[in-house]
Amino acid sequence: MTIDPRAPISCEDARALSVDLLYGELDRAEQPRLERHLESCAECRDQQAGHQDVRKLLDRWRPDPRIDEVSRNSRRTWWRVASVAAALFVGACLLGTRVSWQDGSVTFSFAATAAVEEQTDLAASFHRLIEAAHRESNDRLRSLHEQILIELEQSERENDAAGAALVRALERRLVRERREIGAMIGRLARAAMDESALTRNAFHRMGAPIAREARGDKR
Amino acid sequence: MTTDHELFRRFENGSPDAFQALVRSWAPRLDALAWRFLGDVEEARDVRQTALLRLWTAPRAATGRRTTWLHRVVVNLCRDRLRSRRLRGRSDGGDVRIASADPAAADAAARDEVARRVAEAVASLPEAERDVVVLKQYADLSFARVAEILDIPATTAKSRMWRALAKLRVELKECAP
Repeated sequence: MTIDPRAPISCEDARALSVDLLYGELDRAEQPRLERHLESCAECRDQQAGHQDVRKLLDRWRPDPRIDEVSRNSRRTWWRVASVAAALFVGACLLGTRVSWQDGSVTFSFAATAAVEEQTDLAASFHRLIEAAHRESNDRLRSLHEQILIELEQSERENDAAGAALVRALERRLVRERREIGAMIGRLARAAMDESALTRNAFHRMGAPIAREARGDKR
Repeated sequence: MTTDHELFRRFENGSPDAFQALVRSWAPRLDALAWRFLGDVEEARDVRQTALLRLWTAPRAATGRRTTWLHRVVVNLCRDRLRSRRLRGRSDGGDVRIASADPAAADAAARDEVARRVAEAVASLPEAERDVVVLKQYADLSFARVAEILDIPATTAKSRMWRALAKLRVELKECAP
């Protein structure tokens, strides 16, 4: 059934829609109708705002520590999975990068590091550069990930439509981050190339594919 | 990962492993739900045990949608206990002081005055509204599921929620940001 967004709704209908809105269940098609009503009805507008505050207050009642409130945790699981999946998307783009998820945080480690460890001293400088890239990308991605989790928690957007939009935005941000990390590794690689011809050779053998993959180059 | 649906299906086919997995999966959820009603960890665990025992013993065909049925059993058991408390004259604290019924919970709640007041305010709601608030706000179920569990139309669940929020707004006026 098509909903006419211009059709007025009663205060009773608006309350039902407001409750849906408060709990992230409002049908997108209904939103204009609710908005129009709230614009014209001060009482419903005031109640809507007040209920929003009450809803936040209700969250202050935390469960007893002995109660493992899986139900609430599970609400965030989807978001966590989405954000971790997006982080993994970036991690997977970094050739040779291992990504792990433990105790609510993401860790990235360069598998390439272990391979490089057994190389000669000449490769050690490249090793250090990779380690530096590792640290920086790890810090940046962890910071980004934490920021995302905070935003997700604050947004309290629980319906699928809002969630999907948020994840798309998240993916765009992570793609940008991936490009920046790729560029960073590229800069480090160029620094390595300047360091010595031998390091340059080492880079060409081991590092170039990493930078190329991180930049998302096809070849 | 095995879904609840799959576990329930295997349970219906007589798999004891599936029941164990269901207990592991559902015990924390049922504990949390019962605790919101009763404010007492041990009582909440008793309710959970009873609900899971009923799941085990109930005729398979009688339970309908399992998750709804389990929630409904817990809600009904909690209602019974709260009514018993009132009848036994425990309403001098009882279900109203939901978070202080248990000493450890009281300690935890005392650390946050707002949390204590929220718990009291929720517990002081009429039963029909309190049930909706607990299932929606704290068990994080959709209004459709809340309505199914309470055997009421979804519109009724929403109007009860609205009325409950209006009452809570008054009760918690001093806590508002």
